[in-house]
Amino acid sequence: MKQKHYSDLGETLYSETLDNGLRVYLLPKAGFHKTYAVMTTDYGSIDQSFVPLDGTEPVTQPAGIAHFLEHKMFEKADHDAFDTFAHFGGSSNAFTSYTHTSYLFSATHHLKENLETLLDFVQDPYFTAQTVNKEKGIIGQEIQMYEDDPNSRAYFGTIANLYPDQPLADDIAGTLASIDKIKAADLYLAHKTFYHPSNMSLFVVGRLEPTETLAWVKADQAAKQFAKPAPIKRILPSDTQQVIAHKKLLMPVERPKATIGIRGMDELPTGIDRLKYEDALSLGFTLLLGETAPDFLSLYDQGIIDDSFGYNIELQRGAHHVIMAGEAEDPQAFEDAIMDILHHATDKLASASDRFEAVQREAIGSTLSSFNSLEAIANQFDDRLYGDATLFDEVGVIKQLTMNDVIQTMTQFLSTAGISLQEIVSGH
Amino acid sequence: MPKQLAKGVWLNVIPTTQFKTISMTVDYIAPGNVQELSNRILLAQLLETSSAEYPTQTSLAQKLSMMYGASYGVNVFRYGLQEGLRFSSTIINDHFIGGESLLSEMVSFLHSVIYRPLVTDKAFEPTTFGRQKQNLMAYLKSLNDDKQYYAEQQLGELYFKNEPFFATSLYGDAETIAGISAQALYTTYQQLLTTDEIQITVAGDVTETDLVSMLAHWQLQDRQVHDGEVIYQRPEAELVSKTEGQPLQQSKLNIAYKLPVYYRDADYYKAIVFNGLFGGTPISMLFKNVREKNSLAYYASSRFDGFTGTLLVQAGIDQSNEKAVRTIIAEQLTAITKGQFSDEVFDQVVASLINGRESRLDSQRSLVNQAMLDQLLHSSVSADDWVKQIKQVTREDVEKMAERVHLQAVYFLKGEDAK
Repeated sequence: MKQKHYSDLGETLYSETLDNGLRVYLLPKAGFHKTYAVMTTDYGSIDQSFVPLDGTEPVTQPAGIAHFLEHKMFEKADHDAFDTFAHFGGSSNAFTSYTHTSYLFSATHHLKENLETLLDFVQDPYFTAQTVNKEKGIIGQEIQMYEDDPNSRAYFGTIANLYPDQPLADDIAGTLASIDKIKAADLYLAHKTFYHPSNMSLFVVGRLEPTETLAWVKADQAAKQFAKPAPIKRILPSDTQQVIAHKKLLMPVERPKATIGIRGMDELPTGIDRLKYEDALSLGFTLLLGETAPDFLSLYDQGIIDDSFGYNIELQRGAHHVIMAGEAEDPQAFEDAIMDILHHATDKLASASDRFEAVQREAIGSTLSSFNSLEAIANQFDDRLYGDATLFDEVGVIKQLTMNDVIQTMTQFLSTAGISLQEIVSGH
Repeated sequence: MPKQLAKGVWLNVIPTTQFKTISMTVDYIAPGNVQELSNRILLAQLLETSSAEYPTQTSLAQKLSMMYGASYGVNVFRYGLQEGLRFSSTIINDHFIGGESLLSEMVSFLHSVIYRPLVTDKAFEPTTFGRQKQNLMAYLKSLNDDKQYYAEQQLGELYFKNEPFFATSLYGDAETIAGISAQALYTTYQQLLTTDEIQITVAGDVTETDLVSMLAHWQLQDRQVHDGEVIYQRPEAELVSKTEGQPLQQSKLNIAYKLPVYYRDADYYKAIVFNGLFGGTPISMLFKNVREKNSLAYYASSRFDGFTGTLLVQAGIDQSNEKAVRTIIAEQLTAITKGQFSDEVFDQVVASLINGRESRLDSQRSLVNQAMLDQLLHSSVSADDWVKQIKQVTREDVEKMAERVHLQAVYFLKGEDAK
């Protein structure tokens, strides 16, 4: 078992890759009462087309299948995994993103039993025509709930504008029509291909003893049979890199919403340099449009943006973009003002060096604070995106960033980026 | 034990090294009404964004960023009959940033933003006041775009139609807010600072002695101890129902019942277990029967509020299934009265509730809230004692609890002609 101490965080991370390929990470947290565990597969809503494990021909599955699979994993022939967790006091859940599916529990007692329940239910699929059809009503309601939510529509609409010819354009949950096509055999095929231990990781954090916990996981895995690991062949449609510049959606909203998406077309560095890129971008946007920025105050005072304004830097397998969103009485004025700032970003950043220390400190503080939350640590952890680096290296990376790094990264990102505006205005 | 700094002014310190941060809240608490609630909402909006020392968001944000991204917020809470204006801030423990003492800086910062607001001629500065009032009004409008919130609020207005304070959203009453002037609000604020009960709560790697010495500069004065009653016992009333149509894909069914059991009463723990079994957990009868068995909803749950003795049910469903869902919900209540649930599910509910309570010990915010609430109620129940009480609840207790549930209000937000 590897052991790495991070002195600036006061944390020690234990890790080991098991014989079957499962990557296990253990982070003991003194003083905590509960343990949080999350098991993640490198498989999300965009992985619709692939060559199945021990197959030769590519298949394309209906949009929303990864999320559908996530729902269906809980139900077994004679029980529901929710109930097994509850028996041991564990509280369980799951979530699906564009590139990952995660299953989790948190528990203050019976860690061993809850861990085994997690490994068992994620690795032992059970689907029938009847159970699959039953889920369509539930997920259908989930889809319709989000259809009525203007913030969700604004976000997913913007991503779709940025990647119109990619599977990112499909909502994570799919549509009523696409999920209607899903069959038990599709779920088995996806599970077989993407839920192999070599495509998964397990992160356990909180009250735990590393040696003992690892032994439980190893024993559990050693008792199970898995196919030989093979590289996964994902197939993506060719990417024209064209974005849809502007879309307007009518919904019965009380206030209009404006969302700007900025898609990076530049090639990302690898390893820890990618983490550095992401943090430099984050500092850059904070300097341009964060609450310490003079432009923020000017737009706020003009009523172009309000307290709902915010932005997010998102970097994932195969894509990176920045999403800025807010309520805006005049979405066009919102777009014009933001575009003007982005257009002059290099100059504006050059004159912002007196605020650099403040935003750097803020980023350090925010990363440190996230280590209060077991959920935040485990959910944000990604051991493949940045080579050997992880979020545990982030404070060190931020401390070393300079104003020059920020200007260079922002210029690289913005000079070739594709930009889109999604408006949501009242009407139906 | 909380320390009394002056009459009606309490300091609760929770020393712990569990977190990377130190969290501090300063609460001004008084019995609530619609006008005061609305005043407080507007105060929160205003004081979160400006002060004499930090007149703009940028100057305020710059200060917080330099303090390693310290958080600062002002919000309003309501526990039963009491309402509070809360100033809160969280900083990184000095240990992780080396050398600096952020704690005393935070305590000074909070004093500055609370006691030196942005004022001209005994009124809040008019430009800032006007803009923040407008922002708040816009925010109140946009809240209605969240249909789950909207439906719950509409149900609250039905259920509490004779109690405007409880019918009003925690974000205030738009009409009342529209009528508040910069001068009147400033006068109100000065009164609030001198007459409200104050609770200061700090959790983190700190000692009470440090806090007492840092707070000495605040010179907090004695104040009259007010009527501290928290629990509101709503009288039984006739059943009221309302259906409203909106162009939506999903309909929302919200139901309110009276369950006359109150926070930390002898029967309180029975009500908690009953709610866990009925709809308060993902292994509950509502989740199993509305969602898993009949595929009628993505969410179907219940919540119990022990400060008003209210049980709330909510489900997002197709408009054509209203009757079916209402029937299933009613059947689950009847089933519980008849003991039609397994020992296994009962034990699972108890284990889940215990897990939830113990997990709250890992949240700094929960620790702060619980300490404040304990002082407000002049009582406290440790997590261990809470668990003991929950374990003593029997199946029969839960059956009897279900019999005391009385249907009082139904609100249906009906989705029509979307797309």
